Amino acid sequence: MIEFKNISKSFSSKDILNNISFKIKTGESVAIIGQSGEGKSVLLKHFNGLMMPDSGQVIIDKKIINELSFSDLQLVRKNMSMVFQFGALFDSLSIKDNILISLDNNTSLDTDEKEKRVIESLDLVNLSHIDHLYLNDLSGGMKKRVGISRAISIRPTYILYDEPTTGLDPINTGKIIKLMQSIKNSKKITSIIVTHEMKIVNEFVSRVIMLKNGNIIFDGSPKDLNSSKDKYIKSFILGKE
Amino acid sequence: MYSLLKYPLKKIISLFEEFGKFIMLIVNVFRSYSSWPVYFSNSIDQMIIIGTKSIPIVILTSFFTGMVSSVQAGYQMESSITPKWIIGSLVGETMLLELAPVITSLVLAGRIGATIAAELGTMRVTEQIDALESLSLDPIAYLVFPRVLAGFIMFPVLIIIADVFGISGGVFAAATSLDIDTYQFMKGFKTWFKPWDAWYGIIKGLSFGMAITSISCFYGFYTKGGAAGVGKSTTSSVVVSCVAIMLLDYILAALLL
Ligand SMILES: Nc1ncnc2c1ncn2[C@@H]1O[C@H](COP(=O)(O)OP(=O)(O)OP(=O)(O)O)[C@@H](O)[C@H]1O
Ligand SMILES: [Mg+2]
Repeated sequence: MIEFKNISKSFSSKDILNNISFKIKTGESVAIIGQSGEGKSVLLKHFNGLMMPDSGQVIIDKKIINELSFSDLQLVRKNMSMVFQFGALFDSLSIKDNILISLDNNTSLDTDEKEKRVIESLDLVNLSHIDHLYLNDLSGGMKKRVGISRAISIRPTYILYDEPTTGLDPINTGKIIKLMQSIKNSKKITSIIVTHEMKIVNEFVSRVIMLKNGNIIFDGSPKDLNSSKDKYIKSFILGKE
Repeated sequence: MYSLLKYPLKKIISLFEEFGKFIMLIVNVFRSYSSWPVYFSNSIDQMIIIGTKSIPIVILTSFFTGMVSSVQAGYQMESSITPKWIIGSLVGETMLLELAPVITSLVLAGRIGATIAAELGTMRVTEQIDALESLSLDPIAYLVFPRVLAGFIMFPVLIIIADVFGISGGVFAAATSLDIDTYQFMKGFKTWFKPWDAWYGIIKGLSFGMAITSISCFYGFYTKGGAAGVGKSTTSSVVVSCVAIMLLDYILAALLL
């Protein structure tokens, strides 16, 4: 269970989030949509405490994230992984080590089990044959897939995706959505997805939150979103002015 | 009136803010002590990057510095009545006390400071530091601690190397252009040599090493704003490191000599 209570955040007097509140139930899949620069990534980083609100509370499983000590926050993060918008893979490490570093810190597997888990996680994104490569050798889409693989390797209960399919071709987008689906089905995972991809909104999630000017202007099912009469929402969905 | 004062006031306030943030970073390095053993292997890597790979440039600069100070000392004493072997003590002492630690550290402020700031800065703007944190690593223990430790351990070693090669440079130049042989040079060097002087140089190196690594970690770690931001923090880290070296140099001289 995740609850955002009156969250506000601004950067050098520019308000990004403006008194935002919502609850997300365990096992729910929620999409966060909105125009570029509306603060979707900022909102997502509040879930795992990478950014702290100026005021308000982020509550995850009864713990107030923004009041925890660093070590307690790290415990919460062991069950919560994040897929970053631009991958955020460690370029000094090989693909395999990128995943191993995550396993080392968040699981108590032994060496053999870790090896197996790495292969397994990379297999899911069809990249296990290139686990020895470094980032420079990868295309943008491959990096995205490694990012997802790193995030799911620890078997989290919460998973935060920041635009997992942006910049991918339709075939890879389809693959990623399928992958996300299978992750969701295999375990009771709560997924929060920042996305522009209407396919994800329509096929993957049960709830959509839309941001505009620091406020939530829509919070409901994809069906309600599609049948909304609101002019802004309509133009957003249809991609027309 | 207010608007006239606003700019300098703002500057001064932000200077104090920066300094406070820097102190907090150092405090956090110590606070993360429980994870130090975990990242010790990172420290070894950093010792190689900061220490071993700096040896060639340290040898080069110290050797030439030694040669130049020998030649200049010879030039200044050309017409005086003091015996020539005094040059050995002059060069030796200036090398140990001032030139080896300061010149070496200034050169390394460029080499190491820029490397650290650019590396951490890039990690910041590409969200790799966020990623470390999201994987429940402590980025300060993982990134900052190994670098500062490596500076702390390797700078004294580099200063010793600089001492040895600086004095060798002095001997070499004295022999080739001043006609003072090694025996005479070393005689002069030994006459006024106090072990404390060598220790003093090493203590300087230690503190300069800590200053350079912690300052450049600070600028790198808190980089903002893309590639341009990385450039900015790289420049700042080199400039501020150099100023810090000069400042520390004076403070240590006043305290320890
Ligand atoms: N660390 C930061 N410091 C200052 N401003 C920031 C910071 N992070 C984000 N912002 C600002 O917050 C606003 C929202 O940024 P955010 O990255 O959340 O947008 P977004 O909705 O994810 O957009 P996109 O779809 O392009 O990724 C932007 O105006 C950005 O400049
Ligand atoms: Mg974003």
